[in-house]
Amino acid sequence: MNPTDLRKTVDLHDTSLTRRQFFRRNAMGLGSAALASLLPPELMGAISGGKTGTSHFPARAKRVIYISLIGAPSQFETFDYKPHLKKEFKKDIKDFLVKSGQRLTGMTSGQSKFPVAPSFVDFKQYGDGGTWISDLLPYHGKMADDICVIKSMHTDAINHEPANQLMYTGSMVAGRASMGSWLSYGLGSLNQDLPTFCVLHAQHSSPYSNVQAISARLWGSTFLPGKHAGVNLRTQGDPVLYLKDAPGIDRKLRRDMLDGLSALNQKTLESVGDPEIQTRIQQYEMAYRMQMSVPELTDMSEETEETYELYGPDSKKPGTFAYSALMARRLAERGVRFTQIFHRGWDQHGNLPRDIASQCKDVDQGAYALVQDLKRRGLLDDTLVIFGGEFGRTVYSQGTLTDKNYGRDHHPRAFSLWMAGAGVKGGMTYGDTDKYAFNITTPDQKVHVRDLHATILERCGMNHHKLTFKHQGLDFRLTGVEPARVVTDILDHSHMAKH
Amino acid sequence: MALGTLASCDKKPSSSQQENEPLSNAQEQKETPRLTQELETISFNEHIQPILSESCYHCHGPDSGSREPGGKLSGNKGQPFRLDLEEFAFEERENGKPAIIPGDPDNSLLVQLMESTDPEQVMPIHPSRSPHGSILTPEKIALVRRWVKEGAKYEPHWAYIPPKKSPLPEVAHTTWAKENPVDRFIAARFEQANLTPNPEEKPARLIRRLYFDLTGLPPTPEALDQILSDTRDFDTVYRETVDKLLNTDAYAEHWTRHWLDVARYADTHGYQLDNYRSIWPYRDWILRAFKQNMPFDQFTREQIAGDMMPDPSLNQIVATGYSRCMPTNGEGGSIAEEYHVLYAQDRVDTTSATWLGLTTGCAACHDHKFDAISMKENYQLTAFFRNTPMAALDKHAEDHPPNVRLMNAADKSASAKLKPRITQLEKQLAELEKKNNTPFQAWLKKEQAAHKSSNDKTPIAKLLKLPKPNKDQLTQIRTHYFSKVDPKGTTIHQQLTPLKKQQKAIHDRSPTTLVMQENKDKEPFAHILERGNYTQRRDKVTADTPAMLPPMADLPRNRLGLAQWLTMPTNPLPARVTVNRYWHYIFGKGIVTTTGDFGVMGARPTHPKLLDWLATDFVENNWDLHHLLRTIVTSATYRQSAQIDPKKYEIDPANKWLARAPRYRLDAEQIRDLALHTSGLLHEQFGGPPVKPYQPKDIWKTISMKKSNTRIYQPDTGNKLYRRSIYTFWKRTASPPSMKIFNAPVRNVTCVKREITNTPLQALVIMNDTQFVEASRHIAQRAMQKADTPETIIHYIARLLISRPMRESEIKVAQSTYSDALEEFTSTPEEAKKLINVGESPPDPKLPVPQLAAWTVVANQILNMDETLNK
Repeated sequence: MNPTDLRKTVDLHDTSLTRRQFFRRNAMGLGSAALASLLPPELMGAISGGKTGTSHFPARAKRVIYISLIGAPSQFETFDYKPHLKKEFKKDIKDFLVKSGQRLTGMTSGQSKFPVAPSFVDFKQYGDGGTWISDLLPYHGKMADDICVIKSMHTDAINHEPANQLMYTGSMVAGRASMGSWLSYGLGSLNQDLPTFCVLHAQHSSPYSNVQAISARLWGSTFLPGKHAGVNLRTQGDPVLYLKDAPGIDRKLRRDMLDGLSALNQKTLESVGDPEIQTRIQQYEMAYRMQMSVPELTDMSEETEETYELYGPDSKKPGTFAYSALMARRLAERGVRFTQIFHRGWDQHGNLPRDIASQCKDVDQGAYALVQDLKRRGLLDDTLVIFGGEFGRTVYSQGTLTDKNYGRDHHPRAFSLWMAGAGVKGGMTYGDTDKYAFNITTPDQKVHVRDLHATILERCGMNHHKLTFKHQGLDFRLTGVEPARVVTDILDHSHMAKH
Repeated sequence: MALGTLASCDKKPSSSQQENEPLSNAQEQKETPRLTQELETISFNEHIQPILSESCYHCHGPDSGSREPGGKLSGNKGQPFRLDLEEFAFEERENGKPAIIPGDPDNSLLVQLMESTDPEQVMPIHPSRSPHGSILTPEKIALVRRWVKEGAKYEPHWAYIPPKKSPLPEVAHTTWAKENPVDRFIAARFEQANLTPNPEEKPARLIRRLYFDLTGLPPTPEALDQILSDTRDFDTVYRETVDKLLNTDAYAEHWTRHWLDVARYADTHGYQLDNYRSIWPYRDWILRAFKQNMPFDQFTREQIAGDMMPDPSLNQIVATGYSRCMPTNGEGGSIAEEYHVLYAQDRVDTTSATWLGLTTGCAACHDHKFDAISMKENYQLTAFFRNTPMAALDKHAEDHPPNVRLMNAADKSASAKLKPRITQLEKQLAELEKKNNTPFQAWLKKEQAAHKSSNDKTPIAKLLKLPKPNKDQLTQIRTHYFSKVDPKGTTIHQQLTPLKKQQKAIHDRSPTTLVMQENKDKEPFAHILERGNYTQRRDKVTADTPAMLPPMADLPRNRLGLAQWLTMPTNPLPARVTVNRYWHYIFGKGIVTTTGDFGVMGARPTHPKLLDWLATDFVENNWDLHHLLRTIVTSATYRQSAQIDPKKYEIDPANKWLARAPRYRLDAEQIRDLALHTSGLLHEQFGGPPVKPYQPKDIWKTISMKKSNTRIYQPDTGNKLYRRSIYTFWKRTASPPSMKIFNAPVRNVTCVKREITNTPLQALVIMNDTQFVEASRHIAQRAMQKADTPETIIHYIARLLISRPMRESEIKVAQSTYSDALEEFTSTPEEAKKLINVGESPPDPKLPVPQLAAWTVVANQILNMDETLNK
């Protein structure tokens, strides 16, 4: 599908072939998996009750791009401006911590002092909304009116592994389906030639950054059908595993081989009658198409110099964040529902000033360019972009504190991230924190990870209560059993305002 | 909050998945009861409980925390109503009458509220009043009405009633259902559905199916020929083949592979660094257990509590690796108690799913919503697994204690002799160092002076050049002095060095493996945790099993007692759950389709009496897995053809009644092993450390931390590239990609049922993965070595892969692919060379290059056939 064809996507509700007509034509009654592959996705919707996927009300977002900053960026040096902390430089806040009852990680719980570390970097106000943004993110300043900064995020976890699992699978414990797979499951596919959920791994540039591991758990499908799992688009080797034909096999030979295979399988279908054989024939054809569509996707030669300038010089280097951001736009154009960019290296327990500056530089221009590029192509209206980590960081320094150097430990009670597009109000700052960015001071505006999930689902036309999947006799939901709310305050209009 | 989000266990209206995923998910949906007038009798278990559990138990079931009235929905007012147990269902309500009056539906509030047309009144709660609301169909309401009218009789949940052998049903298909009881039960049901069984599968295809089911590998053409040319009665030959296969190494490897899914086995720790973990000796213990056909009750007991048996053997201790297979964390800053809670819960969840078919994890945060497991009982179960000295954080160490080291007898005695000798020499050396410190210091001063401006680049000279060596450097210098300069020290060293070398060699070839160990001085206990949160401890509880199941009586309240309890013949679940899982492995679908959930929300058995017969027979025959498998695979049910007749398909599309054999795709490991076996590349070696076959570059690196010792995937060479897939190194955070694409689970949690999908990525693996391309070439080579005409070559490839010669029309297709490929490769010999040089093994130089390349394409084509990839 060409990028420009996106607008031509069939109106899902206006299909002339009804469910009954379809079944009448197929008296033999193919298995539904077979149907799924025989039919264009919009028709599969017709079969299953008049719509594609599981939309509960009109969707504001057709697709989502999630920029996952793994390791947890500090709010103090990015979006949560605390200028008065300079006056409390080195003040020991041990008593405050004890009173708060907040559990500390094993990395700082043994410290005898907890000295306040003011941010080494200044902030400025930007845009009509006057959003405060750190000097480490100058490009973000330019798009302040496109994004909504949420300063009142909070989570349950205090270590990376459980926190990332909570953020990206809805549960601190392994074994749940990832957010992207839920969206793929709920939304269905817009493009038969590409996976519905694509994962990009952007390399960080600093050799010093403290890098946390991530695993396929964050984009797996577990109990959801395997086709909803995220597919890694790699920048080294084949972009999709095993995509490239074996050495010595060219396209013509692959076609010949597949034509023969298809004929052989057709004969088996005739003699055995198993509709799954039809599905297999179709899947081999899709594999063949993917072998063309994915290289087309990763061949960026058609991008203009002006676009590369927008994303910055790194965008020509495969594997960088800027390159991944540009790739995310190309995926959005081609109808990929959920694109997740993982950028690691945000875990600054020490040497924070040096390392966070480099991390911010990695992502600042690329994130800006992505939002601008989507906007000028008219895609930002129905693309939701999210940018953030798994928890926040402490106001006190981990390890030695000087005026130039310090580190910050993990902090779950307050952190910042931003959302943009798909009717999220730009130029807005939502929620606030106390002087130590320790507790959220706006009780009505607290955003738990579950609330974020509910809001993302809402933008995609889904009610988080109703998007369920039965597994081992139980109904699972991305947001789990605890209450979750859609953060309607930051949305233009919501079908779930009353929930 | 550790477990607060563990289980999204409550039941919500689920309109979505039936629409969206009809095949994959609807199978688990329980059958909607047929119209009430069609039924002769109404059974609580079969007809009523599914309705009540789906629509009522969330607010009127076992979970005291969400029971209504009196809960959130009713503003905390009113007298709670519990419907799942008979003893509460008939209690008097506020109006002086019970909600269910047996025989009088008109006056029963339960029926009145279900039949109400007022959205404010109707039960279950109307969707307009709550997002959790739902609407009951008139058919279901009518069933409830009739049940009340007929006396509202409750029954215990089917799975908790001890199984017994019922008399075999009388059937019309008497010649088909001759002697195997399986067939009687199956025929009874498909006859009800007006179905007739398929004829027996063609012998070659049937033998192929049997080989795959019992050994995970196809028959060789030679083995197949031998069976088919046997002049005796086919039935006799078939039964002999079954017995032969059950006693092969391949059988043990295949069934071990199933068990590793259950036991969530992997070769890395799973969290953060995801470092190597040495636990493959546990996998080898499983292999040997299957090889010797260890009775399943013993197999169970040794894994759960081998270490606690009287005078346990090393093997019995190794078996307890079962409780060490879950992912563990070593992340800095993690809080130990949080992980102790997680590990114990994981062990309970795994054990429950495997032997009890219970989803106990739900009761970690609240009383179970549907099954009679309270929070207290869940934590009582966790107590069994918590009484261990194992540290919560693994320090990323491969031998995270408790562990044992495995040595062969010779090494063991050698090691025992080495140890005191080494200790003695080391002691002498230490004494010498003390005694001769003065000469050492003098020597040091002299040497330092001599080396001040030396250009000597030897390591020791460099150290001596340092004006102020640090502690480490000083130690190195001292070691040098006492091993090379001091004459007495030199002599001791000359003796010590070879001994230490020997010791290291023994150490290196004797693997460690993680095991369980019980605290000797403590009784098992746990705390009930509020919402599963490890910081919110409530009552302390001791180890015990759930009250709905037979009591432990005088068994000890520890793991050993649990092991015995799991294998008590009076426990209604373990045998049922096990035979059902075996049925699932053979037929692709359990008699209870929810293989890990035999609870109220799980599926009902399609053939309850068959399940009970098999379970009882299994226990009567000393938990003999060979006997169980023999019973299943010699049945006429199993031996049917998989042909799908459109008319029969219409009646039974999901093949619930088994009037045809199942047809489904082979598992990931079977597909790779098929390629290795048919190509002759398979290196048969039973057990041993994990191996690293071909894998695309950088899969590990992209996601690993710098310090991880499993960051760089260095593929093995030689034989290790061609071992059965069960031996492939399993890194949890990046499991073998070609396996994962074919639905192998990641092994973070127990898996009692794999998904089977059909995706384009799977096509790409078999077409392009080095392992499969190389295997295709070897298949082609074998065929070219054995046959000389295109037709016979094609036949040979087909006999390897699909156990039959090709039909005339198929030969034409393959021949056409061959001539297209040959034409192309003849004009581009360089491309042909590239293709036949894929993989480490060299191509047969005697074969002409373009022809070999072209046959490689054909072999790969047939390898990709649906018929090849299916059982």
